[in-house]
Amino acid sequence: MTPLAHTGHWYHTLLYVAPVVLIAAGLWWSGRREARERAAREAARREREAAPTSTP
Amino acid sequence: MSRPRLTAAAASAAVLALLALPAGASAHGIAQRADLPIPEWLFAWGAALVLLASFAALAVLWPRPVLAGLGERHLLTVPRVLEVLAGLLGIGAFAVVVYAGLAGNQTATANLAPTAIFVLFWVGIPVASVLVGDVWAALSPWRALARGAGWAAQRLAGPGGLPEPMAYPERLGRWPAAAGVVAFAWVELVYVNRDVPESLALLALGYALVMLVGMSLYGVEPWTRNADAFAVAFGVLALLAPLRWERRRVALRAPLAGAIAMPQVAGASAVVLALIGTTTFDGFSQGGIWTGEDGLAQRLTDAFEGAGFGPEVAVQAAYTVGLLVIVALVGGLYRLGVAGMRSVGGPEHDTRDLARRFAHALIPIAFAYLLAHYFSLLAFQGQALGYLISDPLGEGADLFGTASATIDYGLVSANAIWYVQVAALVIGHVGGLILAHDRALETWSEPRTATRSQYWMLLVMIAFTCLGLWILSAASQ
Repeated sequence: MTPLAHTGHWYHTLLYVAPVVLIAAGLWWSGRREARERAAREAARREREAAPTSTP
Repeated sequence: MSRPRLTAAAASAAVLALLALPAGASAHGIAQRADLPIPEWLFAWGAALVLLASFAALAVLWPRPVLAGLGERHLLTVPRVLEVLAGLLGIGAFAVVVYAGLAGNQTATANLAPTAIFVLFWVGIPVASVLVGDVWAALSPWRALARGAGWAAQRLAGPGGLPEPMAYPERLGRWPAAAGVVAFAWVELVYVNRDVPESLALLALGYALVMLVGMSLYGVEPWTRNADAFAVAFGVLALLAPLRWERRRVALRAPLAGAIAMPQVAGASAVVLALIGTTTFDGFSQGGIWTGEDGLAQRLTDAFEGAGFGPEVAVQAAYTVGLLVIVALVGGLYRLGVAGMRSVGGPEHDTRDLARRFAHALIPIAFAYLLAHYFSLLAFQGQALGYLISDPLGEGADLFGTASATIDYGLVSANAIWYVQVAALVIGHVGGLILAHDRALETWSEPRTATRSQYWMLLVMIAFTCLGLWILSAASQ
């Protein structure tokens, strides 16, 4: 395959792309974690609201 | 998939594809670098870390918008006569350059016109603008001519004797200036006669004529503010300067504070993106991917020749496509940041509104790209002005006794140039981050939302930094 045969010419370019990819991945991961936490908080809130209130 | 996300995904793919292309041969670096303590790619990693740390520091230490509250201090008022003298100097310099181009030796290096236009004007004026303010507003020959003619006509016609200029079409905004920046870049990077002094002189005359007609129709200031590519581009860069010149008043302001005053009008972001995109193409078009034996330029040229174009037109068509594609990719990268920002910040601001609000954050990046890319050109070819000023026509004159001066290529080492380039890119992008962060705090009242909205701009800034360093690093390949 031509692109692989010429790896020596372009592999170092990947080193310039790497910081962009790493930070994009980090942001994507933190975004997903925040979304999961938000969903969990929302579910907990709904659960609290749905729970029957006890009367003295 | 929603439209902003689709745009973001398409722009990401395009940018990553651009970044993933193999490195090329040489940008504007003249000398080869040697003995750098670490590999060049590691500078990109270091720059990314600096940006990441700056972003974190801003999130913690900059919780409220600050820049709008910074005042400025009046320094002095310039006498009117200086304004007139600066205008006359601009007209005189323009006349000399055009005359040299038309009547002088047609060898590019022997004639004043190419160096005056591509080095002194296109690189020197932006650097001066960032250091001391909008010098071009005072020197612009067509503006000075139009103001002089307007003043004389007013005196002759008496009060109310002259018709009012037409209203400048608001929806056009600064798009004519953005088109002008790309057109200048086309002449510099694509036009086959770019080194012919006579062609440059004729183009300069043509541009001045268009400007004079525009100013006579729409008024000097509205036209200059929106449609004069150089006045708009240099004026935008001058927003970074510590000095603000307005109606002969000179005021001192804090670094970056001027940039927040960039008008949020149609085409304003396009001007800055055109500056970044055209500079990027200048570097890219000298690398191996473009100029190599089986490079993109050759393939595109072959395709145009296959479609029946002559060889010269085919080459220009190929370079035109390359220039436009790179400008579009740079614009796409910014739109990616804006679309991402909107996906986090909520729907109360549409993409166009955000694109205009945050365009000022690109100004330091545009200057960083320009300085990083053309620093060696300014340092070396700028010295040629020493002898060209004594012999502007290239015909053996020695007007100021400097005709025998030469270019000292040892003035700045190749490594020093590389450090200046890296520093310019890092400082420029940190400046962009600060401006974007401060504007985000104004746009979203909740600091947490404001910071989260800037994740995407951080990514865009890091991508611009790595792209810039990758293009520059090609000079040592």
